[in-house]
Amino acid sequence: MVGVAALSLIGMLALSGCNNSGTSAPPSGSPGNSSGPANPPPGGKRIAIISPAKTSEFHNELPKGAADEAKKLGWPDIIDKAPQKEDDYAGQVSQAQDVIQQRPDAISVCGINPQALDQIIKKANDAKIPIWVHNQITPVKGDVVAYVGYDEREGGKLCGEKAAELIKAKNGDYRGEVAILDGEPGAHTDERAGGFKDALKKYPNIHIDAEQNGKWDRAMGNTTTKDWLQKYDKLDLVFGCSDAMAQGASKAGADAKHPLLTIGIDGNKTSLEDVRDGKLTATLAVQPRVIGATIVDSMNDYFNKKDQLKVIKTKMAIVTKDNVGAFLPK
Amino acid sequence: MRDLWRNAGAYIALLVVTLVFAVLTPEFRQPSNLLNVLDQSVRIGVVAVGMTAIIITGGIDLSVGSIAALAPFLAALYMSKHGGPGSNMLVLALIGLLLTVGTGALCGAFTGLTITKAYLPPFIATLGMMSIVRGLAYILSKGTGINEGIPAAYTITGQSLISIRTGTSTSSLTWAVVLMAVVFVAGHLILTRTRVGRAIYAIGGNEQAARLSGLNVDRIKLGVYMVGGMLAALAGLVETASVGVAAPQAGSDLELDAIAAVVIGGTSLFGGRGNLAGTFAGVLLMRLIRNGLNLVNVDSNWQRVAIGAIIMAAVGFDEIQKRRTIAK
Repeated sequence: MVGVAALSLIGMLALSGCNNSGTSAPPSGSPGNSSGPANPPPGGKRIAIISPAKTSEFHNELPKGAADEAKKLGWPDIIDKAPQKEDDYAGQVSQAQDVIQQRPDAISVCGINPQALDQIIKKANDAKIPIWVHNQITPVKGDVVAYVGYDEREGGKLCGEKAAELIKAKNGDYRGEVAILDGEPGAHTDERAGGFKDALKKYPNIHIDAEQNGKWDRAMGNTTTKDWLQKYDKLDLVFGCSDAMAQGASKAGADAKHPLLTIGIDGNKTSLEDVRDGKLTATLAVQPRVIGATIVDSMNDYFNKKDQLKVIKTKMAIVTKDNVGAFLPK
Repeated sequence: MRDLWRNAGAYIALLVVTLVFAVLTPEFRQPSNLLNVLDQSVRIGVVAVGMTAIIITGGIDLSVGSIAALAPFLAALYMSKHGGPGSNMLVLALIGLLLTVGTGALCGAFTGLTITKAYLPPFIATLGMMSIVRGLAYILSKGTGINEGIPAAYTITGQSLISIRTGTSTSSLTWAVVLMAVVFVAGHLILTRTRVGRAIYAIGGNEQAARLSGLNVDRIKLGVYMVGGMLAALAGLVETASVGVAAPQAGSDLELDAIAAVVIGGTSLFGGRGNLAGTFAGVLLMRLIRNGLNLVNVDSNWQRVAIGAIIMAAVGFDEIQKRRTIAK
């Protein structure tokens, strides 16, 4: 019995190993092993993007933006790595070590947590590989070339401002009730929900009825909102720290035939479609592909010894039915 | 009757939790909230029925949450590609339903075969499947869900059956509740009134003895995992209908919630004992705690603490009772 368990565990490890190299291998189009780091094309820089996991649209899209920009510059295929789960912090560190073994010209990382980020930066510094940090603009220890990302607190504020505006349009005054679906506890939630609440401080008659951890999960956003509607009869708006939760909330409002305004953060494909169809009221489009491209541009500036900012904030925009056309993928 | 007493822990916990919240918050005891609670129990409930049978055989299934994501996603992928003007939406929805249930059955069959033919312990086989199936869902979807081109008939479980309008919002009992009721009643009848049901208990009680007495243990186990997979797929459909998107992230923590509900309901993880009445109490309890804490606006991380505590209290109560009975 124990033998079987051990064998199957080994089998699983082998499987998960395959899975990793399968999902993170450079896109096909580079036949054989010619894209190895040993022989980059003259002038081309081989770069690596390390994500927390490929389980969200955001972290699938961001490396694509980087890959496209690298291609434009005539660089070889990027190294695109991520552990399996967004909580696999040890996995991310060991993948970063593998990436460092490949000796890329530059690395950009979005740390699963501050500890993972700290270790990865240290390892890259030791290996003398220049490192960028993305999707985070709060500086950390170690030698980081630049931080590239959107300002999450500012993004939360934009959502808060939009919320106030939508409530005024609905109730004729800055007077109403909102609820907040947080993500799992951590910096992302603190910044996004914090920014949202900061913006609402200006409006004393907009009351926050409830705030709950929706675990970044659509179903959780849906059930929590349904529960809220049992209690808060006058709930005007639900803000989700991610689109998925806001989508869950909007479906809950629709099913309850309760006029509910909903705002999310991400600007994913399905949420943009929901904005177009009038299901989701608004989303903050943070444009992961733009972030990816910006990382590569910053790396290019570094290689060309151009001066640049230490913190590069990428653009974001509130998307409503009025301007969604410009953001929908063609 | 003895069996009922075995679940006393779950029933007492259910009563206590209900009373506490009913006192704490008036919204909790409204009929509309009852509809809300029942309606939102379906996802865990449907999975928990299959899980009960699996655990009674002495097994476990950790892959149900992943199946709940992959099965409706594959169906939505097909439906969104093949739908369009002029296509018969009802036929498309039926194909989608078959694809959903079929994917679940296939995953369950694969799990069952690795357990019966390759002798993998159920924990390992389904841990592997949990990873494989979730991985496939992410690979196929690239993290993006599908919300377009899904025919309304496919998401019929989200259609309202009974609704109560209170103030500005409507609470509904959807067709999903009918699905849950059918699954529970059918499951209960199969477990208690048929040879297959008795065989399921026999296998969990003593697999060797069941084999020697001529039962086709492998076939029954295979069937149990297939049904478990199909029910997981249906739970995924219910989630898709209630959130409006077929997403690779669906069914998150579903396996743990379902196992918790089954265990709270008095089913023994060692197999051979358990029933669906207890499981239903467990499912309701899980949902009532979340609902109640949402209504009194307590951080959902406390919900995790509360559910953990109730698992330990309910099962502990049952175990102590059992020991007392044996001592007598």
